[in-house]
Amino acid sequence: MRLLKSHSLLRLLNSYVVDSPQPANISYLWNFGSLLATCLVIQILTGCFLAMHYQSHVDFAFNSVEHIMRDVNNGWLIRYTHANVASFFFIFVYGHIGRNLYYGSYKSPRVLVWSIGVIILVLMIAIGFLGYVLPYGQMSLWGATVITNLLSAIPLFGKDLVELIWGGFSVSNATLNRFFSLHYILPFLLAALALAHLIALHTHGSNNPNGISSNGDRIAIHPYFMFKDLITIFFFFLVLSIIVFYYPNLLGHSDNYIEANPMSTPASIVPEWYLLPYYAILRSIPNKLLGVLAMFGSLFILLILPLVDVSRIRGNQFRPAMKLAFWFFVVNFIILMWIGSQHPESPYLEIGQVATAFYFIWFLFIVPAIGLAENTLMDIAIESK
Amino acid sequence: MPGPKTFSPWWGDTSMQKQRGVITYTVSPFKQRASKGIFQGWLFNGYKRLAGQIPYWIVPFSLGYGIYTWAKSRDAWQNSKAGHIALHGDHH
Repeated sequence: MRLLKSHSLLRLLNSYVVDSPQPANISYLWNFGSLLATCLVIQILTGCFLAMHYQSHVDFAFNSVEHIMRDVNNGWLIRYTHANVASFFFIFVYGHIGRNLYYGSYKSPRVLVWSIGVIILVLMIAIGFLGYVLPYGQMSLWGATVITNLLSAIPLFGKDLVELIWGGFSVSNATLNRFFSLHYILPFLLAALALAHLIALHTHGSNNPNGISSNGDRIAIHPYFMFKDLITIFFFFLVLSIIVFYYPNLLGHSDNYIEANPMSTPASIVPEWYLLPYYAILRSIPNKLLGVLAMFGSLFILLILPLVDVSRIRGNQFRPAMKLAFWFFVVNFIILMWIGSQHPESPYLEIGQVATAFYFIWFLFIVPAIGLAENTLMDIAIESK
Repeated sequence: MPGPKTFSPWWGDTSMQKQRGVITYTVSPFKQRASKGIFQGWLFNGYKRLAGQIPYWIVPFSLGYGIYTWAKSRDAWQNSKAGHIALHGDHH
């Protein structure tokens, strides 16, 4: 027998990336997983090289980043790649989640895969936030101040918890140091969770656009899907190159090129684009504690989808009402993202509040109601015959 | 994960008995026409499939764009001289 199939470690490799049977009908929407893995590898490699030249000290951090940009050989390339791949990471993860919502990939028997995925999303957001603090520009400092202060809304020990996280009485040198340390270690936890995501996935295999079992029609991942994945990976490299070489600061905020100054608050504190929807949900609710709960709730509510989607049919391929509801959800998410970038004033405030309400109503009422209506109509149709 | 060396069944499971009669078919590489009609298929069938989805997203996206343009113009008006006079009675 070939070593690839008999060796205790190579056997694993073979089972995951060579002989793994995949549904023959999966579309390009099933390519996000390999793109995300590519992003993680790029981030860990570029991050490792950045850490060789970065100084996690409030007096040196900002200048050490400028040193990377100007003095380190190809340092500008490494930093711009790291900063922009972070954005692509979120583009792909939102595409990945959108695919799962559309095709019902979260439904039994893939609940564990979905749940690990939600934890990965939350961890990714945490890692992205920690990394954004490291250059120690104005938006780094004030973003860190706003986000860490969210925890002060917790009753009784909130304020103590925030000071414990800061290691002082404001975002300071101790905070920057521990954020750097966490930003270095957490991606490895992310990689471990990604492996758990794969192990859980391989129990039942990938979903497919039809939403029914693909056991009767599968082809090996290699070479068929390896090369299909490479198409989108090379396309990603093309787009990434255009961004990195021609528009490296397109997705960034210009205020982060001003060194952090605790004595001067920027006119508006805006997070990175991928955090804007949650930021909009946070600001839509006047009560601080409830706002924080809604913000975290907007992420963790993804976990209840396998319970609230009561439809007997997996995926939206054959469910017109749910297709419409899906696109309303997508548009609502984009509106929240836009509202998060605006000042909290009329009419943006009111639009944000309605969009926040719709976000939660979608999970709690619209998804179960459509499923229930479809099941009932199906029962009536069967009984009347 | 099943494998040739370490696959161990649960107590009483007889499924580790050797399977027989598993047949794999493949088409000869010389007989495969993997790219047959891809451009025709992509152009016409692809268009048909994509166009069929338009009714599902055109309404939400139109509504979203409408809200976006309305909010922008409302915000611009509120910050204009005319808006200030209309809302506050005088121009600050």
